[in-house]
Amino acid sequence: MQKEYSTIGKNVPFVDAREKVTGRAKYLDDLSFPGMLYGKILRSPYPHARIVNVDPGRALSLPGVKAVITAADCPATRFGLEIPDVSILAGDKVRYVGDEVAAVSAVSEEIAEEALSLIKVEYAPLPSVDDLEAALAPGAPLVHDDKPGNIGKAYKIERGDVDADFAGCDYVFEEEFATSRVLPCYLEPFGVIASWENDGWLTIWTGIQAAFHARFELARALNMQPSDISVKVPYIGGGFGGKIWIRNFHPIAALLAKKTGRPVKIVLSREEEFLASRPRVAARIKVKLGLMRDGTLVCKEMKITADNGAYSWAAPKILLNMAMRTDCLYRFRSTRTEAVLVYTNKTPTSGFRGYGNAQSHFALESMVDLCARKLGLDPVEVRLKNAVRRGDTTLHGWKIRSCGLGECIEKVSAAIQLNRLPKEKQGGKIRRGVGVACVTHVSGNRAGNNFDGSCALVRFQEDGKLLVYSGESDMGQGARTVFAQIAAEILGIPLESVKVMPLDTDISPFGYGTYSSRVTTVGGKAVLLAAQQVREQLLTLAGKILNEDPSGLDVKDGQIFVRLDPGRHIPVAEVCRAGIRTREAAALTAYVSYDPPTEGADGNFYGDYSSAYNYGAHAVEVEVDTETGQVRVLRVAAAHDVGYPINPNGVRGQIYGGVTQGVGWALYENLVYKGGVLQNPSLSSYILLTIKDMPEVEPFIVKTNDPVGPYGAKGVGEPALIPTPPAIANALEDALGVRFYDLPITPEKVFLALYARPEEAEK
Amino acid sequence: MSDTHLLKFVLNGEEVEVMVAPAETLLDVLRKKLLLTGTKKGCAEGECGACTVLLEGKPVNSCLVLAMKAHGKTVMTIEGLSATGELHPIQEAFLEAGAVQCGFCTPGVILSAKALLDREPAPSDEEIKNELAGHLCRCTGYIQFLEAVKRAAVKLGKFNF
Repeated sequence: MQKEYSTIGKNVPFVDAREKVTGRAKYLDDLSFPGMLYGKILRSPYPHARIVNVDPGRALSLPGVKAVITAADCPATRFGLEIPDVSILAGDKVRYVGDEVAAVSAVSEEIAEEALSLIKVEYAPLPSVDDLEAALAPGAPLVHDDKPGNIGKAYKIERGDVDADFAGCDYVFEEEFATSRVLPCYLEPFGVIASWENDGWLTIWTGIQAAFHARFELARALNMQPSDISVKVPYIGGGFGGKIWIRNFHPIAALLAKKTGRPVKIVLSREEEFLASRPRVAARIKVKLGLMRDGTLVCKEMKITADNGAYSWAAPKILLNMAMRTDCLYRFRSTRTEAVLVYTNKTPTSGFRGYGNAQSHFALESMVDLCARKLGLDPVEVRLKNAVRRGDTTLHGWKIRSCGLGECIEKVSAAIQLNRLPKEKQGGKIRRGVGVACVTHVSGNRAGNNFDGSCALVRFQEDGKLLVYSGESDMGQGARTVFAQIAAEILGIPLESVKVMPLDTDISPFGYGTYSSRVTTVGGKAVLLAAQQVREQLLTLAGKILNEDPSGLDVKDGQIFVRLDPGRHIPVAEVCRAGIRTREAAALTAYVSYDPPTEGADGNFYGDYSSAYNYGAHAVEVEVDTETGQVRVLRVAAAHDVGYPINPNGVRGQIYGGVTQGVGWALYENLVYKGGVLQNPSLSSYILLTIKDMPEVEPFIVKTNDPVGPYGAKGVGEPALIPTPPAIANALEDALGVRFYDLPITPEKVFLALYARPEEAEK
Repeated sequence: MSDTHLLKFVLNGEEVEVMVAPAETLLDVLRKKLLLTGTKKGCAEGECGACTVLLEGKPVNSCLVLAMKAHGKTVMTIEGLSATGELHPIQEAFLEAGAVQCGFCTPGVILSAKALLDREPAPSDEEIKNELAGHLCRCTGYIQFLEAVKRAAVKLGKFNF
């Protein structure tokens, strides 16, 4: 029998929503300090050029300017994640339009901006490589002189005997797909305030998803020790992966602050967010699929060529996810993937909701559909037939402890068939179709032998109010609320008695941060375990006061009571007071470091590396105006196996938001470059969905009660976006009989695809 | 400074006087000079709607309005909606409907919703969408905004505001 929970599984409003609806929540740009200066960055106008000379000259004499820095003022170290190829400011050459060349700090933003125009930089333009072909061509100009062939990283991962399996298949098909560059495009521009103490400590305020990683990477960039840096995280106005890692402006602000002895704030302009932010890695993905006549998926081969941009921040790991994760969606007998990451003279890429997994899902989920149709099979039946199930160990060694993939597929494919509109309208001018696509993703991701858990500190105060500290950020998805719900549930106190504290690396316990859809699953579990320890302390003390065995006590609604004699009770607040303000000197505090029971992948990337694997399926109905090529998504049914929803409204919020970003990626959003120069660096030319563009979205929450996650919960943040683009492409084939292989699917592409056929063109 | 002017206006019900430069936007004056940071700067190019305030009761992108344009007029920011500390019914509705995730677009959306409900106490879905079409939100998928505005309409009707 399932226990009746008091807050878990309930639609409680987000605990920080009150601060946000009143405008009181403070984001980075809402903070300021006495004497604070404003920093601005001079960026390269060239995609590729040698820097001949940088002359701060007249900038320094402009009244109000306090400092100008160039590469000469920066530590010579290169930093970055797997491949240290980033300098704080470019020294020898610039590698993309937006590359950081110099920076100023001044008493106002306007003066800092004016000072930039007074810095004289002499460039010697170099030939640039603007796309994958150019970068891979023999003798192509090198983005980094020490990276021959412009290759940043290459993987070859093989499981089983792929060649033998292809030879034994009834059918083998091969197609190539391509995804585009899109931007997380969170509403709050990224920024930082840096300030030094006299003793050499550095404080950084920044709305970042992974504060402890930020501290570590900043220390590397600045040649410091991590513990000499404190990262404090104010409210974050959205991140979606784009605010996981530090950017160059973080150490730049630190250097400007050091040089002036004053706090320095840098907030990116929206144009800088477009030029120098971190878009999704765009990839070409060739998929070869081997099937049997009955639709059994046997084997798969993928060849991935991915556009890294000029510096390789998180892209190597993103490439690895792209290379592996779709192998675990179906019960393949064998798979092989070759993947290369290619440097180009474009904005460096990084993580965006899906972290590589979304790109390969577009390719595989388009391919499965296409193959099923070629064989005259129902794509939904083919998916159900091959879907992984609970108890499976996948080709990469993932142990599937809970799995609702089949249920997700059934739910959405049934829902999209209900109330369908006719396939045609206006004599065939308007055509409609439906399509389905699936997703598997992770909830946490252990790299090798690294920690992949989370730590929590839970502490009662003398009046019975509770403080919860975690190292995981809330970027708007609701982590604070989930942590508060878990702690309130375990401790039997009202949600209002719980305060989830702001993240501060000096105070909060260690945590890796908000990515890999891991926060509820591992961060929530750490809070749960710490709250359980505090509960034991609380009941032990209450037992002493009530002269009862603690094992006979329970706590609910802020009252501790004797289970067999509920009339005997004592308020939690009274026990806390007695514990903290008397000679009892009880801690009523617990610190838990939780690491999930997973192995991590070995040197060949084999192994069970996530606490839980999550699943989902989307079904969409689209409508196409065949005269204009305009595509409208009418309805989306979106089912996600989240294990157990701690806050169903929060889960639905993730689903609605993920679907919206998925529709945007599929149809509207695209960073367009010409000669290495971004052509649409503004919100007027980079098109996001508005409220008027929204389809109907019907979310389904599938419960599989994961055995490891807190209350059975798994992640949903990233998977909510992943199936939408392939589902749309599949629906378009259903509507038009035409397959689209490249994102975004613009009206031009649709129109040309329709009228490239001679019989249509004659009409 | 000689090139500044005295801006007098009624801000959230109170008369305010502040010296501003001719090129200063209402957004910058609100945020930097009057320290009302509830109004957010999302793009400074009139595209995202995060900086929406009510000028004479009508929603405007305060990043595109020169501060002096507010001279002698009334301005309401998000801080003015719950000046007493009690949530306004529209704020309650947004909170209850789960229409708030990161919260960065929220103040602007709420003020546009107020302008709509002041004008049309029982708006249709179409009217809500038209009113909120200038607000970008990257978190919610907007669907919760519809519910929030309708919920607010009911609340406002019930309490006879």
